[in-house]
Amino acid sequence: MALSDWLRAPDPRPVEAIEADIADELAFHLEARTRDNIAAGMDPEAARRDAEARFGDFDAVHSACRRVRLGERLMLQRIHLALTCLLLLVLGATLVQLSELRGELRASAGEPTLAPLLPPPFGDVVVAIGDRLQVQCVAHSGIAAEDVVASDGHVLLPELGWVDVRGLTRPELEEKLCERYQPYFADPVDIKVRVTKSYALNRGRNDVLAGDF
Amino acid sequence: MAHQRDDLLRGTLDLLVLKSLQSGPRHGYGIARRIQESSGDVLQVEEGSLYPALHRMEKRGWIAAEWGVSEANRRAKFYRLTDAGRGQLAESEASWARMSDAIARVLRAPMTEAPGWR
Repeated sequence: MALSDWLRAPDPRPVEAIEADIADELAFHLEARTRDNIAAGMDPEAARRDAEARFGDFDAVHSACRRVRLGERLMLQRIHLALTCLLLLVLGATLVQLSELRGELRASAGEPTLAPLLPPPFGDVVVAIGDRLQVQCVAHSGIAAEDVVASDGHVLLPELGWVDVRGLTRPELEEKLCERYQPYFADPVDIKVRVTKSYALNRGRNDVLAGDF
Repeated sequence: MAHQRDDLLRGTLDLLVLKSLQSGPRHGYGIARRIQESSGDVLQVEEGSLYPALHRMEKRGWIAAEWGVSEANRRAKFYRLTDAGRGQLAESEASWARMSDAIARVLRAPMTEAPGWR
């Protein structure tokens, strides 16, 4: 059987209807031959016998026709089912991939997601007026202070006096203090700053204003 | 008239069926009669064997079937040639012509004594 025959969709009608059509078609042949025989001068009984003899085994012919029409039907239906399932799987996988790709595109395009609602990383906290700072030198215990950022944005620190800290992030402030303290020590200075905010945790740099409490 | 019954080669039956439908739609009995009459009663299809072949060719798309009414006003299944069937017919006719020509050449070839057998 050719591949095209396998790929052709099976007859969708019920098996009984297909079998009845085959029987009707074969019966027509016998009737037509009998009628022609009678027209040729045979008596009806002999005409029928001759028609049947010429035709051969009716049941065998019917079965052969049935096999042609229905023999591969089950196999074709299974192939169709398998192909349909495969198609659905491919479609599902494609949809999942498209969904993931869409999410990535949204994220890369800066569309609002849940992430901006979360507090920013601690290193990005901007020091503002009213914040409480704890400053400590890792290797030198004498350098330790705790102060609130004054209304002019300054804090009072040992050895340095008033230092402007307004608008700096915590890492920027630590770097600035390391630079300011380094001349006082021979070994490298490592300053740690802890920022405690009493009113907001995630203010942006542009929000810091003089006199802001 | 004495009937000479010849067995038809399997592929030849398809060719004869397609050819008999070239002039228009026919039911199975009409196809059998057409083959018999146009061969001068030399070729007689075993009538029952025609139908599995018809259904097979219908599945292959060479012929299409449709129920209609016969000349005796009886419900009958009529077959007609499709475009694919016309192409298949042309191909089968050419193939048959080549084959019969080759066989004819063999049969017409002069008889010569086989070497080594004296």
